[in-house]
Amino acid sequence: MRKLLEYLNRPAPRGNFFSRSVNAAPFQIIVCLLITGVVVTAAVNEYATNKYLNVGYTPDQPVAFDHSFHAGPDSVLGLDCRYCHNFVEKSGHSNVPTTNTCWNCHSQVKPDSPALALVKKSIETGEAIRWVKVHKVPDYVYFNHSVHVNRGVSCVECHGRIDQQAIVGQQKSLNMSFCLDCHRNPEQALRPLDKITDLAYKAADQTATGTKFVHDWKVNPPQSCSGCHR
Amino acid sequence: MSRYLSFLAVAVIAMISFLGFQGKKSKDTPVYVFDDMDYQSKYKAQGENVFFKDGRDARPPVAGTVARGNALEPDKVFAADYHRAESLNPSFVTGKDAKGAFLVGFPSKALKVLAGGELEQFNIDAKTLALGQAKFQIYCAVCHGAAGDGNGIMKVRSSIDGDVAILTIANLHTPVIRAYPNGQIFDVITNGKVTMMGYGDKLSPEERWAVVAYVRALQLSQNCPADLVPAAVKAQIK
Repeated sequence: MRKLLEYLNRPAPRGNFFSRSVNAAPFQIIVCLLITGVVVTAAVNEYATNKYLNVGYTPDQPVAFDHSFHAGPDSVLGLDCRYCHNFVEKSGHSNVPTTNTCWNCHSQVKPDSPALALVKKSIETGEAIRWVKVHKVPDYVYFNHSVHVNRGVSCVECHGRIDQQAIVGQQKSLNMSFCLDCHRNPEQALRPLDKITDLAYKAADQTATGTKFVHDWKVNPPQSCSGCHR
Repeated sequence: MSRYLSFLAVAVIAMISFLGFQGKKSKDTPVYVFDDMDYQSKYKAQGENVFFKDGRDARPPVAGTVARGNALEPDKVFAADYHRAESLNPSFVTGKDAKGAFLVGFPSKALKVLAGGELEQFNIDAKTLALGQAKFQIYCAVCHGAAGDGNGIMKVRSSIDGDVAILTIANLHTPVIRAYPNGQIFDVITNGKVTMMGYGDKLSPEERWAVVAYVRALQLSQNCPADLVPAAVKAQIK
């Protein structure tokens, strides 16, 4: 580098209008532009996608519901996801549970706890609890939960290990390439239907079992625009 | 050049210390760089709505009205010969016969109207039992236990926490409950009983009947006459 610069800054044979250092300028400009280009590309790649903008979004909820205590086989209570999100197999929209669902147990367990004050108020007045939506896709994306869970795609594929989170945050980017990765290689995500809510499940040979499910269930995920957009 | 590069290095360090890396936890609402049509002013499932007093997109049915169906099947709902399936076969959704007594057995017809106008047959087979088992393990086992003996996690926890009210969790193998007609078990699942709240909003009528069938299977498993046990299993037990 130094030698190159010395060569470029070598004395001119005759007197020159520009200073000698200008000889190196084109080279220096190109190097600076290249480095700047690399930095800008890296910054855009790191910051300008959902992987930075959305992943990690962990808002406070009006009621501090702890999934890691309630849900999943390793939790204290071991509830199945569908005890509360009970329409996930039937509806395109996976519901946030009604207050009734909380009250199935909490009418008996700690009904007067200050942590449950809002739930109690909701039961008494019918007022909705304003849960904060964490996992969002744009409004022109029509994601259907029931289609996915009834074809062997587990909650964990898009939501991550919710059963280990005290406060739910977004763990996957949920952008279009995230969807398409799976729609192009569905065998990497399919599992037996009775393991859908077992978030810790790992197949011994995912490619082999997944490929079998793709064949048996005639799984053919759409890759055209109208598959998800209307 | 070296001046520019050191400026760039400082800028990169400043950017990283300010913005962090991917996956950083944040309570702030995500930024949408290009939010074209990401947010559309339309009614969404469980969405918020400033127009209505209760703030909900979802509207409760008008008092005194009966739902005919949903927007997914408008042709059927508005057909001249439409009959509400529930009115064709009320026993299937109430668990009671025409006189108001609980059904002893299972209803023979389901709710689905077949092409000829006939109601679909409702059979108790291995598929029904598997459905009942799946639903029982999600919704019922929490309190009643996977074996139906009333020792679910709710009872375990409440004995740790000292919540006495949970002592009302029923053991499904008591003679009283074994003597219930099927329709009464269906009714308890639908509407609840004592401290148990109803599960009619969570389980469809078909699923509730499937759970009844599975409860019957559980009861048989805990009170099985010796002559019903297959010889091979009997040998294992001995």
